Amino acid sequence: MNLRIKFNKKNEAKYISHLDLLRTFNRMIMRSMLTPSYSQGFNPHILLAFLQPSSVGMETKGDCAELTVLGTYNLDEVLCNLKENAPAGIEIVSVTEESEPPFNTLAFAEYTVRLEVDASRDEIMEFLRRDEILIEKKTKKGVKEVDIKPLMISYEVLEGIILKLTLKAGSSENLNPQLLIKAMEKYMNVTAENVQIIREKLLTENGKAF
Amino acid sequence: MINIERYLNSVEKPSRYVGGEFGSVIKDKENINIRVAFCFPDTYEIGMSHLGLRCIYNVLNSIPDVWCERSFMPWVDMEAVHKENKIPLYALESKDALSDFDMLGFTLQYEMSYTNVLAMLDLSDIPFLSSERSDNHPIICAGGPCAVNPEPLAEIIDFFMVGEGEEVWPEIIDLYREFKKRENYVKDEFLLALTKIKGVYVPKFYEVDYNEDGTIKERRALKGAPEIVEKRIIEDFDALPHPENIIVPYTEIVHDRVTAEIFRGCIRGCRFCQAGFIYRPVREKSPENIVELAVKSLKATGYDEVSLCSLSTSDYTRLTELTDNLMKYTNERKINFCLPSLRVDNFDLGLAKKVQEVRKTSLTFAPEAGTQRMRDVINKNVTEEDVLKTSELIFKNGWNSVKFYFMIGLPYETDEDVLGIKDLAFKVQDTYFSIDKPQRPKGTRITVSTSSFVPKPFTPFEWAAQDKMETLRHKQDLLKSEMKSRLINYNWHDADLSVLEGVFARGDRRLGKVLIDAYKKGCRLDGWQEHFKYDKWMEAFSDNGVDYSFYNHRERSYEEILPWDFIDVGVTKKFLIEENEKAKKAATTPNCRQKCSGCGITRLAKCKECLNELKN
Repeated sequence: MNLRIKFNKKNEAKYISHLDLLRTFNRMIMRSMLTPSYSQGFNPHILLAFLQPSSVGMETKGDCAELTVLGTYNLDEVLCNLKENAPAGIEIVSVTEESEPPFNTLAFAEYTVRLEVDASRDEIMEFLRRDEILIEKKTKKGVKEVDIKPLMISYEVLEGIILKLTLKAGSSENLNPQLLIKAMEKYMNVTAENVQIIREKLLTENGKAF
Repeated sequence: MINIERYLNSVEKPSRYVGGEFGSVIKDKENINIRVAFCFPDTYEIGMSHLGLRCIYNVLNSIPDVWCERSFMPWVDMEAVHKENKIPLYALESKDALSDFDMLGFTLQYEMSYTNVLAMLDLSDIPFLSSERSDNHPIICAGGPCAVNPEPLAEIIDFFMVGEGEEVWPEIIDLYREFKKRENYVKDEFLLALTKIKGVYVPKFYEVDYNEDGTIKERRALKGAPEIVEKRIIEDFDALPHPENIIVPYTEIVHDRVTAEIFRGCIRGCRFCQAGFIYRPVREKSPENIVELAVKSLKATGYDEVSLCSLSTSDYTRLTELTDNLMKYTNERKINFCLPSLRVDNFDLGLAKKVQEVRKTSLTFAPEAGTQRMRDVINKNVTEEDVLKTSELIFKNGWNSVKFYFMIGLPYETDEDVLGIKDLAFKVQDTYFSIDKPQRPKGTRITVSTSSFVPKPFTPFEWAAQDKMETLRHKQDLLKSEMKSRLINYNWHDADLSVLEGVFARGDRRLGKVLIDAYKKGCRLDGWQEHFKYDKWMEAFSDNGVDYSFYNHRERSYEEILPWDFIDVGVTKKFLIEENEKAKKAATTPNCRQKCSGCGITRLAKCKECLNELKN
């Protein structure tokens, strides 16, 4: 049985890394009523994956964990049981049965970014409208300069300062808003402080939320 | 409530500073009368691994009007955030400043954490000296193994708990509740009343006079405080509730697993080992209770690993029964089961194989010394034959990674004894090569580690001169130059840290000012090599006119009054002297199951191992 556990990661849990989130979920599942499936091999591990990893410090809403379990369950019971076994910062939203993990269909993510910066809305908008935004990015092969503009689908700046962003997400093309903020700091020669990133939604190619 | 959110994106591993873990206890402040912070003077990852924290946290939080929270030493980046922004250190559960608490309880696991105690007080804006704190400051107390010689911290800590904490804490809380109720609460009156509780030591009610040569002339108890402070012992250890609801951290900690304590004390009496003396008598938990508690803990936490915890685990009388029953549960659920270091003289191949069923790890043994003479001096009661036979057994059964722990700088040690470590390592290698090629594993690694011996109170070596740094370095160099082989990997610990550890292990009250001065000069996180500032420490000694070699490079006489003589941990001085005399002659003492050696613990508690009265 393939389960999709939809959850929000907030408060304390914002500050955990992707690896820590995996550890946290593993333990939550071990505490729960579910009997997980394990991978084959020398070090068997629970068959669990996240639709899209999130960075340390990022709050997420409607995050998805995909889990394979043995046997069949009443999903309402599972939802209650997982809520009881989740740590304070992980809010379990729903549990649904899925035919297979939807990793290939993830295309975009929506973000809200709050920050303190010595710049006006218009100045930031001007930066976001540039034809090309070049920034150094660490990849497996080393540091290289990339143009992140094609990865930015939509953007808006509200008073506050609050950025509303839709960025490409998924395994083939992905833009982390932290990189965009870094680019903004470089281009505008400013320092962004107290940056708070909320990932509001994960979306498919047709703009449907998971 | 302190809000640190805006700083968290700029520090390493911020989840260490936010709390909210599964299993952490949140109480309604309205219903709380007494607030205690369990303070671990090292980082979160180390402190959260500590079984004592898990035990005391549960004991205190089971009292309805008490809320026990946690606080740890922040890492340097977070420490800087606290200092630059004048944010006081807080407890993880409520995020309230430590200065708002009734009591701060520090656990003293190793001497090199003492500066962290100061750092945590400093970040809380609490004066270091007990005499400089008012009745409105939290009461600062401490426990843990280092409390058997509390004197270096006598001017800083208000009261110490000597021995096991599970039973003494509720007694202290009951007394404090009475005093807190009073309209005219006076801290000193509470502290004086505390001296009536067994196991509690309040240093301010004692005075010490010194001889001209710096040794202690006399200790005087004031205001009716007891002359001798007797350590606390849990008589019925099997009945002691074990912490089932462990806090499950978000981030990885050092011992990230369920730890099942199987017994306290040790039958062995290795002469270098303080734990082997101060935790007597031996008290086992029954396998039924251990399995039940471990399973409950695993279910409650969701951990996928469990380990047994005790000194010399293979001495547990019903180990096979215990591991069989526990592993019935763990194997089915793919839970990893691990054992701490093993003895080479009672190595159980069947057990080691069983443990490896889930995940294969390397095996670790601690012969401690290289020559038979030296192993007899320290009463290790392990022979070369034991080491080689066990090595052959494990190589033949497919293990290709084996680690051996040794000590250098032991009393009565010669260069020949040091080189014995190399000889033994090479004999293990010869054993490996003597096995036919198809039968022996490939890629074999023999790891040899040496640490530098530090003489500790309440051991037969409490009078011994500690090796000087030059001597320790010379001994390390001997091994470095001789231990050259493709298969053998030699690791050693830096000697400068052990010099300082030695000073505080056997130190007295006069070291308090050195400690405070060293902290002011920037020393803290001394246990972390990258932050250990040896030169600053040396400066602190000389600025305060304290000769550190007085504490560790001097052999004491049996007649000298030692700073910790007023503590009774059970073993008598007479017994320790006998053991030291036997060490000089390289004569061994049988373990407690073979023959009672009359250590003295039976004066304080029943000992199931010997069932004897003290022999005189």
